[in-house]
Amino acid sequence: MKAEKLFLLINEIDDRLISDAERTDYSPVEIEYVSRRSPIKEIIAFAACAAVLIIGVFTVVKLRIGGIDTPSDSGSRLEYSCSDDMSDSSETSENIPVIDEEFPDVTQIKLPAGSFEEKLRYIMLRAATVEALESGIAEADTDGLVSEVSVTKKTDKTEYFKTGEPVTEGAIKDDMFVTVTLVDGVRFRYHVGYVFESSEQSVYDFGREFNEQLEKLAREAETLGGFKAAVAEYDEYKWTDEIHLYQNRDDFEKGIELTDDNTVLEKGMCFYIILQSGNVKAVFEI
Amino acid sequence: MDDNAIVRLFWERSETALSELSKKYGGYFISVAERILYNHEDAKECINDAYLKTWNAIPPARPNVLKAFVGKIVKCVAVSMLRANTAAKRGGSEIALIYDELEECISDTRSVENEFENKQIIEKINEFLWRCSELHRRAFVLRYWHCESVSAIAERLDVPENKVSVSLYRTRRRLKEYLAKEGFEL
Repeated sequence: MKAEKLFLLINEIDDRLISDAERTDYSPVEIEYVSRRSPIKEIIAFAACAAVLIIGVFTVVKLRIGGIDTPSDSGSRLEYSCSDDMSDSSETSENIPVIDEEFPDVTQIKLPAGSFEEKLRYIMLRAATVEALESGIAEADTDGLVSEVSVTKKTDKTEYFKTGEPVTEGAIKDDMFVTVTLVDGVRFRYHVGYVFESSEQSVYDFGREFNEQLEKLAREAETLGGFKAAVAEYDEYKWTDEIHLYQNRDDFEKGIELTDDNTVLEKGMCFYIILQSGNVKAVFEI
Repeated sequence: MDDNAIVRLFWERSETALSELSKKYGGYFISVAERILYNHEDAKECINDAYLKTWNAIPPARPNVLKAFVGKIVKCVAVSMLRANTAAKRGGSEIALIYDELEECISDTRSVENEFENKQIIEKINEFLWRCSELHRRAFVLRYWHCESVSAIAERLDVPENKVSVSLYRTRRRLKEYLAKEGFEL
């Protein structure tokens, strides 16, 4: 029986994981993805340009301008309408209007086809009114995964994600925020007409990709100072908060740190790097 | 008595080692075995077999985490007994539910037979779990290693049962994706 085999494989996991699970000091912490993007004006201007271009061309399958992915079926939310049939299989995760020239890899989430999350995104992107949004989500959420749905007006032009006055009925317009929170704290947010994001997926994908790059830089660097310089050059958006180096994992666990930038990096040394204000942590050995 | 002292007794071949082990963790081992076998008498028999195997394993082994070391033996013995125990398989036991849930992590294309590959998969599972958030990681291990019920996990972590169920669902799905990405399909 394959399930039994997997059960026996899981039986052999790291002893530390087994002990860790039984700790008594758990306190739920919600991971919140905090975007550090440029002022909204630039994005709005860029979005407007893209919309004009797309409307002028009339038919666009996949337009890429300066790193911007534009949907194959449309380039503007104006062309979306709230459909009674929310399960149109022709729509895939490739067809979402993501406009994010600064962090395409970070914010362009990839959701598995046919998943509840993908259906959720489909509804959020197309709902023209608050009523349509709520009824669409209520119909799709057969397992009770959604804990909160909200639509809010954007009030502060300098803070991209700051939400304002709730909108409880009527049309959902550009520049509003549609936010859906699941019972496990994962949050999906659509800045209407601009960006769709998931707190969970963006942090997860970001951490994985960034971690791989850090490991690569660590293998290439000769000294701690050299590694820090390489990270500084790569990390142009300043995601990295702290870099710590240890002689080995034992020292890491004991907190015995190597701090001299002239320290020559050797095989077996252990890096502990804190990213995104502690939301992502990378631990790896050279 | 602390774990190091108990391990030392095993190394000295002192039979007090087994009584001290039982005194400290016996209740826990019985509850794990019961969740798998769904029968108290079978669980007691399982523990006796597991203690014998532990006695034979230490030395040469010198476990860092004694509870986990013996717990793994207990579960292996319990799974062996389960194969012959049709009553537990008929349902009602926690393990029947756990097997059903774990089926979601498995593709129907092949089976895992290779010992070396098994070790690699275990490493990947470790990696994956350490990358998970604390809630996802602990809920997964409590469910699929400690065999705790969803309600017990929710109580332990002080979160709603629904949240635990969603967490387990997500983690199973991600584990399958992660293993597939790493080139392993169970």
